[in-house]
Amino acid sequence: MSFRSLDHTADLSVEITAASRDELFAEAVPAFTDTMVDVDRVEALLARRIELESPEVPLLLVDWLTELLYLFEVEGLLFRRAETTIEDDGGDEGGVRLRAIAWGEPRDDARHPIKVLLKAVTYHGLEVGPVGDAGGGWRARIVFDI
Amino acid sequence: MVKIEQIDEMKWRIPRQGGMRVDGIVYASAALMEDLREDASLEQVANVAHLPGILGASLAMPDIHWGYGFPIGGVAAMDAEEGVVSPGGVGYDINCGVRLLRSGLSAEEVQPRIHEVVSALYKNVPTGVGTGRRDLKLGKKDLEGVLTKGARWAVERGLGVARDLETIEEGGVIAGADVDQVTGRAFERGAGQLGSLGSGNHFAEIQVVSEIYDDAAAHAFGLFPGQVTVMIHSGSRGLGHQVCTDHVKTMVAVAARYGFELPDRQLACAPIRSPEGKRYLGAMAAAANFAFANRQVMSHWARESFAEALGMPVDRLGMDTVYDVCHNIAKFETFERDGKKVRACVHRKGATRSYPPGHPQVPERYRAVGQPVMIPGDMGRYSYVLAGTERAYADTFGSTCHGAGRKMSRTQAKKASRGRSLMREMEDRGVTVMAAGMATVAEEMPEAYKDVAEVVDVVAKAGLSKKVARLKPIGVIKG
Repeated sequence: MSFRSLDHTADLSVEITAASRDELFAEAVPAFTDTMVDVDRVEALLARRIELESPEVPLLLVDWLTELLYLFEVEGLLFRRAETTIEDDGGDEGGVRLRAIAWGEPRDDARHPIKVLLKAVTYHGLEVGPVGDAGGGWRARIVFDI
Repeated sequence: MVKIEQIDEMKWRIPRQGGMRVDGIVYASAALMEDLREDASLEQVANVAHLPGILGASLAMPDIHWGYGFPIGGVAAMDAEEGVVSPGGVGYDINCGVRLLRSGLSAEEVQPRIHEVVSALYKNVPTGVGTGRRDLKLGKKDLEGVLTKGARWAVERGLGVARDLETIEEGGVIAGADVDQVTGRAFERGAGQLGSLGSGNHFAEIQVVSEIYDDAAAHAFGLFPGQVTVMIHSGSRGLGHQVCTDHVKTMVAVAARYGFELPDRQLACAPIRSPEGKRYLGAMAAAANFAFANRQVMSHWARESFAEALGMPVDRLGMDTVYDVCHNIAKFETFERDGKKVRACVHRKGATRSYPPGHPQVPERYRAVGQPVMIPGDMGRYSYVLAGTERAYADTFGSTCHGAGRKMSRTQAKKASRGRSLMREMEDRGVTVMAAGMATVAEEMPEAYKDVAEVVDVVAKAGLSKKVARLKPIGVIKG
């Protein structure tokens, strides 16, 4: 699993890769947190259980990161890692569900200086899907508004 | 690659093709166009031309740059009856904008105490992460007042004077705010943030009028050489970001139902007259009003900061509002086109209204010269005050540019700043900087931006605004 930030003039975008769809959503957590602070300095002191539903996988990823942004802005929480499972709903409406536990801690001014503050997670150029044939892993590209 | 042809020195056309409903029109010099050819923003201008109900052309100002969905620096006027509204065409920071305060103070009076003034401003106006001041915590009822009354809410609270409201776009309140369309999450994100600057390119700046280009307009705006001014650039904070997030999500989900095939999800939109369109417009107006109130509150604190640092009473500072403009907004405005009155929902995403002399929306005291337009530059060089024109009203739905636009990516800027003391460099240039984070100062350093003079020259030559004054920074606070 890995993530890297891509260079854009005015916005911030990241590419996340992982072995599976579930792991991609887990890896999205440090990728997201590392845009704002140094994720290596975030400790796993508390856990938060989160469940989300969306019509499709790419939209679920936007919702997931939007949830993390909300928790940062309203509760000051930063997350270091997560365990995630995605279930295909299979009902008439289709849809996907994320069940996650994320570990992190409240932001501390001294240990977590801000690199950049995010305003929102956008749908622009959103790409989430398997890489090549089966076994190639999963990749996502996502653009943040800063 | 989109096809582009030159119309005249400062104007280019992306001819209508494929699903485009109108042409794209880009205002740029040949030099700026060279840079533009290399990024995706021209394609984004063409994408916007696909939207239902778009009138005239998909317009781009000379500070256009790559955005998400819509380009930043884009203007799209949609037919108020048949057109669509797009949250992405406004942006996440709803009613991000600029307030300019003049003063009765000269540079000589302020310069010797600039460190005290900047420190007082930095202490009184919260920047960066987190919430606003403890003495302005809002309950739900208060926040509803902010969302429906805009800047007036702040003035009624004693945060400013009634005269401020006369010189704000739309009088500091956009009609039709619907607080029921603002989600609980948006309330939560906004509750503690009124009266806070934010981060990124937001700033509050102390400036000196360094050049006057148009005596009559400068006189009308109350500007004179050597005068100290204050410019505040901020928006609707987390509340606006959440409003956009919520409503883009809804529109992404319903786009297919309305039969829209969009080249980019971020262009998600709904008919203006649809339930989703109306709900967004109600929520957007509420967020825009939050932003008006936000800049009003910070303006009041800026006055208090000067009073504190200079040991003068507020009413002797002469710190009146010159004007306050929106940079990210969708508004219903009426234009004359081909001899007929047309009502349009004008999306300005990184663009400024530029109304001509004589327009009833221009405050009476400026009506002879046109609406003031403020164009912030980078924190080392200068910003501009312009005035609106007939040409803008006729050709660009009363719109002009909004700023310099970045030249370097944030990574490039950080690299370029390594091993340098930017604060020291700024001090040597005569600009005292205080910031919540050094990372922001590095990313926002002057050389990371294009020279705003190049952008302003294009709109001046194209007749979209006329130059009135140039303002040089002497003190800046950042997030």
